[in-house]
Amino acid sequence: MTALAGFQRDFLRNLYDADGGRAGVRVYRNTLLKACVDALQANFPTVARLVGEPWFRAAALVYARTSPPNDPRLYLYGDGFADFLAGFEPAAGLPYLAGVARLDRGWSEAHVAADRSCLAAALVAEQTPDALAARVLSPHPAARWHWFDDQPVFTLWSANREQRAVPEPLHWRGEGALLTRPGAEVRWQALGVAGVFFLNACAEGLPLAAAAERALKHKPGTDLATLLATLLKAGAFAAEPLPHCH
Amino acid sequence: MNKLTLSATTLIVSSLASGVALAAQDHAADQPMEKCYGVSLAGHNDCKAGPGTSCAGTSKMDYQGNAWTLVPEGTCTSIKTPNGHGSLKPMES
Amino acid sequence: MNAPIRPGAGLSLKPDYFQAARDCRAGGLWFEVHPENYMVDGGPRLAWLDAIAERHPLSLHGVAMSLAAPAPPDARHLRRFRKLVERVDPMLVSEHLAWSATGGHYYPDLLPFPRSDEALAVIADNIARVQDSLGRRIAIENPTHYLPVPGHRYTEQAFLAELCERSGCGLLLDINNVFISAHNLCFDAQRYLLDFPLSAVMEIHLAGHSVDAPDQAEDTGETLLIDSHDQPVADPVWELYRAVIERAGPVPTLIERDGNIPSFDVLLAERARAQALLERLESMP
Repeated sequence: MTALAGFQRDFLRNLYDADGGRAGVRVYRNTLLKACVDALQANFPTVARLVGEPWFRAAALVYARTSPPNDPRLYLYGDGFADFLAGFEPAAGLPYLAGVARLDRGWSEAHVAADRSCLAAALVAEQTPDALAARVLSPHPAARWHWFDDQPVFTLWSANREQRAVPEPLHWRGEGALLTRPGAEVRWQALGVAGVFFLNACAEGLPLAAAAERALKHKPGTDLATLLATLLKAGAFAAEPLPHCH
Repeated sequence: MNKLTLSATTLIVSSLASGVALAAQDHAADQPMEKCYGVSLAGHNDCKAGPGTSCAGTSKMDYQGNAWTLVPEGTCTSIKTPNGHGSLKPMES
Repeated sequence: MNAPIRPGAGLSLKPDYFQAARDCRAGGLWFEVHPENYMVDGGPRLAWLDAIAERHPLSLHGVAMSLAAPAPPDARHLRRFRKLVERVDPMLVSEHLAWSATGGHYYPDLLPFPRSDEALAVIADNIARVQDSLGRRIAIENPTHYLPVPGHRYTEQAFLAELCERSGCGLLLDINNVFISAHNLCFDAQRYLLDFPLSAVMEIHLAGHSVDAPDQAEDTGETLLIDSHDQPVADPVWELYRAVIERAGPVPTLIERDGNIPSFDVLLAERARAQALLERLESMP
C-alpha cells in the first residue's frame, strides 16, 4: 500500500470507527454523515413525516454508518434503506414503514427517469383485436409499481406524501401502487393486484393476451378493459420510437 | 387449444380492445415538460443532501440516537395497526 | 460607459429559484451547479438546466471526482460528467483538490491529504485524465482546512502551481476557503494570497462561513470556522477579494450559497456587489 492509500485508510477509520477526537476531525465526520442523513431525508420524505424528524435522522445515521453511498449521485442514495427499515428492531412496531420507503424510492426513480412519450391509446385503438392481443407494450421508463400484502401501504404513503391525514377507518388489507411521470410531475394512484401482475408480465416482454391471463390467474374476474384503460391513461406504457423520429 | 381456453382468450382479446377504446376517448396522458417542473416538493440534493462543500457540518454531531430525546413525533402515532397502536422504540447509538 | 463584462459575477443555481434565475436579465450573470445533481436520465431537473443554459452561461463545479485518491477517476462517473458537459456546453468546469471515494464507496465530503510527491504525481495524472476525457481545461479549487495534516512537502500554493505546470489545468481560487483555513490553521490569509499563482485563476468563489459550535463536553478550546455557505459573504472576505482582483483582473466570480437560502433578489443584491467591483476594474485604463 502506498503512503497516500495508507493515509486515506487511516483517515476513514478515524471517521467511522471512532468518536471524539480533535474538533477538525469531528467536523469531517459530521459533514460526511450529515450529508448522508440529509440525502436520506430528502429521498424518503414520507418515512420522515411518519416517524418525525429526530427519530428519522437517528435511524438514518445508523444506516449511514454501515452503508456509505456507492455513487456520487446522492439522489440515488438509500437503495437498501427499505430493507434496512424492514429489519430495524426499533421500527418493528411500524410494519408498513419499509413499504412506505419503497414507494418513496419509486418516486425518486420516476422523477429522474428518462424522458419518453407515453403510449397514446388512440394509436393502439386502430389495431385489430387479434393484433392487439399479440402486441407487447413496454412499461414507460418512469413507471414504478408495487404490491404490498396485508398492509394499506399506498393509503398511508399517499396521505403522508400529500400531507393529508390518514383516512379513518384504515382498512388493514393489501394494496398496490402505480407511479408514473407522464410529463414533469410524478403522479400516483392505487393499483390492484391484477394490475401489478399485468405490468410485471409486460415488463418481462409478454404480449398483452399473456399479461391478461397472468392478471386473471391472480385475480379471477378482473375487469381487463378498465385495467388496461387505467394503465394507458396513467401513462404506464412507453410510446414506441418511430423510425423517422430523431 | 380446447374450447374453454379459446373462449377465455376471445374474452381477453375483446376486453383488451374495449379497454384501449375506453382510454382513447380521453386525452393522451403526456403532459408537456414546460408546464410543471415538479421540483418543488422533494428530492433535490443541491444542499439539503449536500454533496461536497455544500453546508458543511459543525464539530458537534447533528443528531445522535438517544433513548431520552427520541419521542416519536410523526403522524405514525395516530395509525393503528392490527396489533394496536404501532410505536417506535427508542434508539441507542 | 462600458458594456457589462461577460461573464462577471455568478450565483449558485438552486431549484428554489429556477424560474427567477432563468428570467433574470442582469448583465454578466451566470450560474453554477454541482453536475452530480444533474446526472439524471431525464425529468424536470434536467429540463430546467437546459432552459437556464439556453439563456445564461453555466459553470459545472464537480464535488465527486476524488482527484486526490490514489486511483484513476471512476470511469462511469467521468462518462456521465462528459455527457453533461456535451449537453450544456459550460463556460467553466471545475473540481476540488480533495478525495471522496475509495474502495467502491463515495464519501460525501472533501477530505484532506498530505501534499507529498506521490500525491502530486497522482493528482496531476488524474487531472490529465479528466481533461482528456472532457476535452477541455478544468480549474482546481483550493480546499478548506479544519485540521493540520502531517507530511506536507509543498505549500498549497506551490502544490497548485506545480499541478498547473504538469497538467495544464487552471485554478479556482476560493477566497472564503483561504480565510477559513487561515483561521483554523493559524496562517496569514493575505500572505497566502500573495503567493497564490493568480495567473492560472479561471474563477473565484466567495461564500459565507459560520463559527463552529462545539459540544461542551468535547470542547477542546479550538474554535473553528466552518465553510457553511449559509451566510452572506463576510466583510474581511470581501476585502481579500478586492485586493485579489486588483492584481488578477476581472475573473468570473461566484457567490456561493447552499444553505439558509434567501430570496433570489437578496442573492442578486449580494452578487451585484461583486459585479460592481469587476466592472470598475473593466473601466480602468
